[in-house]
Amino acid sequence: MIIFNNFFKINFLLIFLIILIFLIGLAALYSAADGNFYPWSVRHLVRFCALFIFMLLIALIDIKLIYKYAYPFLLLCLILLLSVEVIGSLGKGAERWIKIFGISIQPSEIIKIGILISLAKYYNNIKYEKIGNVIYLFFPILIIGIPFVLTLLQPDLGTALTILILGIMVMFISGVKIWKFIVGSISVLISIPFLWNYIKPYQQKRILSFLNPENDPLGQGYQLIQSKIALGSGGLAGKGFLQGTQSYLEFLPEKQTDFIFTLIGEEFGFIGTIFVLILFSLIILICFYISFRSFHIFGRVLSLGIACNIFLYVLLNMSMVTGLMPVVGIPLPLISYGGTAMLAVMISFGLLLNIDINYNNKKLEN
Amino acid sequence: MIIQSKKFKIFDSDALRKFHKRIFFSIVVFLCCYFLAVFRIADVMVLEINLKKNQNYSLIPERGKIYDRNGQLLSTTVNSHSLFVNAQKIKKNKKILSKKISSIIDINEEEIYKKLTSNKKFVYLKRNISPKEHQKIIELGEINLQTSLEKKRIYPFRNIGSHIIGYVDVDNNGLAGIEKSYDENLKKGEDIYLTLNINLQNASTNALLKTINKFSAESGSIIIMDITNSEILSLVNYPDFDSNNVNESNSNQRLNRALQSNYEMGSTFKPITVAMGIDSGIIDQNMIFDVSKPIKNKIEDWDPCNCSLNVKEIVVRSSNIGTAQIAEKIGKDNQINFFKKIGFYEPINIKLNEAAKPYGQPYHWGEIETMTIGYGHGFAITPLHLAVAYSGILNQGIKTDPKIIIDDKIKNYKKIINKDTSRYISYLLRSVVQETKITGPKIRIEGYDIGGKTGTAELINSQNNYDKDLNRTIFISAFPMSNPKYLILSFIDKPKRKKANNFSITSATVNAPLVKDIIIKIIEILKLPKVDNEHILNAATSTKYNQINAIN
Repeated sequence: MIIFNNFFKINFLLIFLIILIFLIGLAALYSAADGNFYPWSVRHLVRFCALFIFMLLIALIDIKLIYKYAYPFLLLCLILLLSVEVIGSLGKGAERWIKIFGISIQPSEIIKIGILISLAKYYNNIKYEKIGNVIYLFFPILIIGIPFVLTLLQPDLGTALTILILGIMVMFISGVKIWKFIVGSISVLISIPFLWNYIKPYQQKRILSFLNPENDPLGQGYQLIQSKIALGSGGLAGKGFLQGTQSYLEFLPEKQTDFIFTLIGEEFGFIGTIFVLILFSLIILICFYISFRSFHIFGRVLSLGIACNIFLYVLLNMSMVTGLMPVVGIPLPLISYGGTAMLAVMISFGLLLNIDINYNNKKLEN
Repeated sequence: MIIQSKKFKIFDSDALRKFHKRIFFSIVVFLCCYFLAVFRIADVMVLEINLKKNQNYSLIPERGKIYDRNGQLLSTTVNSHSLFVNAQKIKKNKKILSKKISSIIDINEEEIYKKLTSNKKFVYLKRNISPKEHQKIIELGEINLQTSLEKKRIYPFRNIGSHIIGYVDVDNNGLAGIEKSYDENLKKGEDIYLTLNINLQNASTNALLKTINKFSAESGSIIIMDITNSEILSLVNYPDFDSNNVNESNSNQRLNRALQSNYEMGSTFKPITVAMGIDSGIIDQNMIFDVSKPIKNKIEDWDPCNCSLNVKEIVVRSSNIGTAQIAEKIGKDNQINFFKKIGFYEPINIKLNEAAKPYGQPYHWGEIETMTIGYGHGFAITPLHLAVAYSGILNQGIKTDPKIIIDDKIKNYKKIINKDTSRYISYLLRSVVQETKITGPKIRIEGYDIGGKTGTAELINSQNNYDKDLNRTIFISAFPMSNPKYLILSFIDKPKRKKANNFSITSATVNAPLVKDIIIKIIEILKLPKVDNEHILNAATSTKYNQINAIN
């Protein structure tokens, strides 16, 4: 009955935006396969439908459950991430994926949500005056730091950086004093040489290779070519749906995943890309709205964290495809083909809807 | 307002103010980043401010790029990496290492093992590895696997246009197509703009592939030309290849049939024979020819008729007997002279090394050959020869060399026939489309004044006999016929008889729908406006009227 009542409290504007963005993604994947539903569109659709139900489920469950199991969820994510690293060191090299029930999942995507929920719970539990106390920095740094280091060692620099930025943003919004961020960054810089000696040579090489621009397999010239080929040909209004003639090579990134934005740019032009950007901006605005409305700090911090996460996905993806940033493998939510990112994003939306429904909940703990 | 409870907390007003301040600050940061991203997208897509900054970086010019007529990038050079190893420094686990490398770069495990145990200081494992492979090699963490920076030529459109664009060797020397014939210019860093329209090229490739699959045919070609300036807008052959992976293709795939292969052109020669007859005044359009009996038991009609036909009816009905009689009147010497005039004795003057010399008629050329050559049997030329000749005939009788590079000047103006003969041929081609019952309906498009001529040639089988099941079907088409602008030539080799197509393998069944598909695409891509049918008919009658005046 509660679930039924709650159903009508769902933020249907958010649902509408989610479906709209997804449909754009579906059309783009259809076009990417030269006007075929196979191989991408169909699976994208199936995933979305399954995860949409999952999202509603998360939206309608009791917020207390989410609050209660925040830390265990983070722990589970950490175990998954660690097992990936262990399997990776035993196996052929870098691994970011783990198979659960035959489905490949990238734990580094999921753990962002674990971190967000845990941070939200943590800041909900401490009084505002106490946030200033240095002791209360220990736990947040721990739950941001461990996943950051683990993903960095994979090496998945892109996801590692987003975890770090996300963590810092949430801590900032929660009210941690500015000078602590400055001290923090200085101490991290000082400790790098010491930490460096603790990791294994092959891990050192991986990180060095990743950071060294000389070793960047996708050089600056390549980035420009990429931008020019894919986006530049779209112009202001684009060539029209299915009219893109762009065929890609192994030397250009896969069009259906992280570079789907270029296809939208080619077929729908500058106007189309801005439209997509506006849709994402609206979602982020709704996150802010939900945050302001929420009576409890848990909801406030969590919805803001989710806003930051979506913002980072979109911004980094745009920077990547326009050549502002090296290619680090950040997908465009709901549009790029790929399961884990969609899983993570749909869980986020489920949480958002849940906070929105339970904005005036008086008790988070039993 | 201060709400405080152990279980549930909300900020007091002071904290709330601070919280809002920080959220506000975040929103500002978000907006700034967004504007940056929007500006960058606008820059790349619309403004193109900093794209040209990084050009001409090094002292040795980077190999020039190849573009299509609208500036679509067809060939360019990117940085890539070659994987090499200092085999002396690899001490242990060579077996395991070579297995791991093998799984990444798709090269035989034993081959890699041999290289790892070779005791050389520098061995290439693979040249031009892809970024994906490179990333995986880095992730292996083996320090003695090293990469060197190289320049790799890439072709974003892969198979599309590969026969024209060509390809390069591993050191970026041009080996075929434009890459070869303009190698010097490209090496100097000059960019080349082709006359090809890559969208048309893509459309005709798809249409050709569809037809070849539909009829399980062996091969095919399509040429689209702009009649008014002889620019080649599209040139497609199938089988084709991917310029990026030339090593994976065979010579059959790399063969540029439209330029390199010689074919007998069948009935598409009939309008040419008529053109030479009318232009030299040997025949006029009102002459009547008796087509009721085969000539020397050799020359027969596909659709026999106990009747006499005028010139137009001969072309529309595609009568071999009638055309043979016209050719006989013209005679061998005039035929040879005319063929020389329209370029059937020389390679096409185009800067592509593939352009081949026509075979012509290398054997005996007697009276009977003059007749059969009149309707396209016993004289072989390349498809491009036919396209260029037709283009000249339809371009008010002015033939020029075809163009593949955009800034070439129009070369070798040559008057091959009179303006009025040209208009008469246009009229004949339109009549074929307007009046035939089988071909016509398959090619007509309302609002577009289309003309064309079918050609079907039987090929010789392994027993050295003409085989009814081995056809080469040809269709030459142009529009708008009132003032011809676009020429489409299509070729299909050895279509198979299939139930779905009523077991027919004539040009009308195979090529007419193909050319119609292509014309629809041309209209779509070049946004050509419709003309109403009345206008087409008026044009038709006025052509006829002028023609009669000219003859009189």
